[in-house]
Amino acid sequence: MIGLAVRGLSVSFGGVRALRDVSFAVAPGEILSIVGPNGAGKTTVFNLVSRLFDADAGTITAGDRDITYLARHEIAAVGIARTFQNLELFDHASVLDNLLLARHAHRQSTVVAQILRLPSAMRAEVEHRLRAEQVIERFELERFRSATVANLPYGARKLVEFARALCLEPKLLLLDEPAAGLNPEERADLAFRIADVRDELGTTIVLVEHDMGLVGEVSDRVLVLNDGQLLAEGTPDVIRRDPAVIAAYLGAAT
Amino acid sequence: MRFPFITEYRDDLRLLRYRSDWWSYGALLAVLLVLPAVLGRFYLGEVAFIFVLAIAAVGLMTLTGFTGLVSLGHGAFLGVGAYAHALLMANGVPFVVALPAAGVATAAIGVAVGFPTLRLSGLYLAIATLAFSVIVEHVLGHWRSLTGGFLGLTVQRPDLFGWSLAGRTEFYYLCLAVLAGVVLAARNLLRSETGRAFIALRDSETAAAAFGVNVAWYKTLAFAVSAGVTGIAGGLYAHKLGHITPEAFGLFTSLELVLMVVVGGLGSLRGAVLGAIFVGALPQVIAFFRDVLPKGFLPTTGLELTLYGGILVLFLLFEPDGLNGRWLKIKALFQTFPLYRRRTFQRTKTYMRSERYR
Ligand SMILES: Nc1ncnc2c1ncn2[C@@H]1O[C@H](COP(=O)(O)OP(=O)(O)OP(=O)(O)O)[C@@H](O)[C@H]1O
Ligand SMILES: [Mg+2]
Repeated sequence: MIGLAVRGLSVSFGGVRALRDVSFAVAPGEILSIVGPNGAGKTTVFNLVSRLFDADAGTITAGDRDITYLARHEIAAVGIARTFQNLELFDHASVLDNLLLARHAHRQSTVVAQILRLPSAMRAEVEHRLRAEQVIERFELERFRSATVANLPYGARKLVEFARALCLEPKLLLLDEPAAGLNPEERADLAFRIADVRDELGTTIVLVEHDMGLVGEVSDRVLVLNDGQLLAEGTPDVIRRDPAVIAAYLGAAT
Repeated sequence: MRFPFITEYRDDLRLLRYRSDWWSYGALLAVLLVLPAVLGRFYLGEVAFIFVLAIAAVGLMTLTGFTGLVSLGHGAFLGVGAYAHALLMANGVPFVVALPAAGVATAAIGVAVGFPTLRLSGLYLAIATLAFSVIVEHVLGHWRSLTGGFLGLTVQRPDLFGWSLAGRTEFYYLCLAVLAGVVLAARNLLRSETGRAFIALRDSETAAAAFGVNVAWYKTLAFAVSAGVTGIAGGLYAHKLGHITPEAFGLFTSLELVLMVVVGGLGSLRGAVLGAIFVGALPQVIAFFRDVLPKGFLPTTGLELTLYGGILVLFLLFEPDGLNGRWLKIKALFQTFPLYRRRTFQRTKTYMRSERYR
């Protein structure tokens, strides 16, 4: 399990200054929530950590590794997995194949071995399958195992995305609004699952979420972003009473 | 519905998972093996030709159906394979070496096309591959010292360790064997780590990269594999033609290949083969109707292209899953009879509508 440290992160898109000098740290095994009004820059933090964009300034460190300049496909090997706010699943593949692809960073056989189905390739397949099945069991996805993702209801798709991230065996997990669009029952399950992943697997989790109930339930610490800047930081209870935070939310609502 | 009985993950990785699969594929193989005994010389040649098309279709399917990269240049890859094979054989390289070598050479050209076009997709990639196809046709036509220009090149007869494969029956078995090998290899590759990376690139490049897929590397690999397989088909195609000229590998051939994978059903190897059968048999069907219909009823030129276009549109409108999708539906109908629901294969779209307003 690794921590994450972000120092002086800034990025702008055209004229929009999406992040301005943002610094924070997550301890190994911690659950940190990032909240803030729409457009505050929460997803942008994730996109920078997963190296989809280059930061204009600042450094990102995962564990003891500086990942500021890694290529985006090298992030998985560091042990960072994420979900996407607008679902980026492999729609025309089965749930199982979605989970198996998440094992890409752990691939172990060569193209030739795969074509000839040599023992090394078969061993790799069985190993990946075992890991995927463990996640399927943890998330009770058995009945969806061979369903095509595009045919699943929204809640199930959200869950599959979470499960896929877990299949990477991440040391740091970034969840972008996992509760959005879920019904109350699914939301309660989700809160349990997030806590469960941390408690049983020890995974460090960064959670972006609008649902303050969920945030209060699972997080150790909360970070408030507003307009690209860090507004407040503290335990969920402290944050809920912070006048600056209340003002930011009310201000954004009008 | 059938459910496989699985006690180990390895059971799930087998090539044929159901007992009934053994019967049906066994029966298919038996029929294909005895076909030369019952089919006339002409039709045997046509079937062998369909096998060659099917190999090329598997090549294009890997790229378009599995990796999501469009190519309007696969006719040119077929040509590169055919010329490479013919030239190698003309220079005394034995057939068994020349055919895979032609595949490797075409794969190299595939890399040369795939790498610079990495950032392109959709229409732009289609145009780039189209340009490639035009360039290849031009080079084949004008590099006279090597390719014989528009007069073309006569292809040596194929043989295997001194045993001639030029006869109709021998050539039929040769094509069948290569097709079986190619389908098997493609199936194995596509259901393992590499194939899943291809599929991931097709469905979400962002997510694929986030899970460690090196986008540039795998797209280039897809081009290499696809071109290589198509190049092998090209080598066999050269023997089928006996004499190769640049026109055989132009845009029309590329379009035929695209028609095969779309009509067959994108994202399925069975679809590639079904599509090849469909497109390969079409000229015979047209010839049949020419004979039975009154003279002058069918136009003498341009009919095939019109038909191709029409069929493509009809499939895209009414059966986007192609012949393979049709096949799966018919199979499901029989397996679940009388409980089959018409909506079995329909996608749940309702959530998407609400999603749009979030
Ligand atoms: N790729 C991009 N190109 C241009 N502008 C962007 C891009 N990504 C984000 N932005 C802008 O940066 C700002 C922050 O966006 P971001 O998606 O990080 O917000 P968010 O906090 O995740 O909001 P939400 O709660 O709505 O998801 C917004 O003004 C957005 O329009
Ligand atoms: Mg967001």
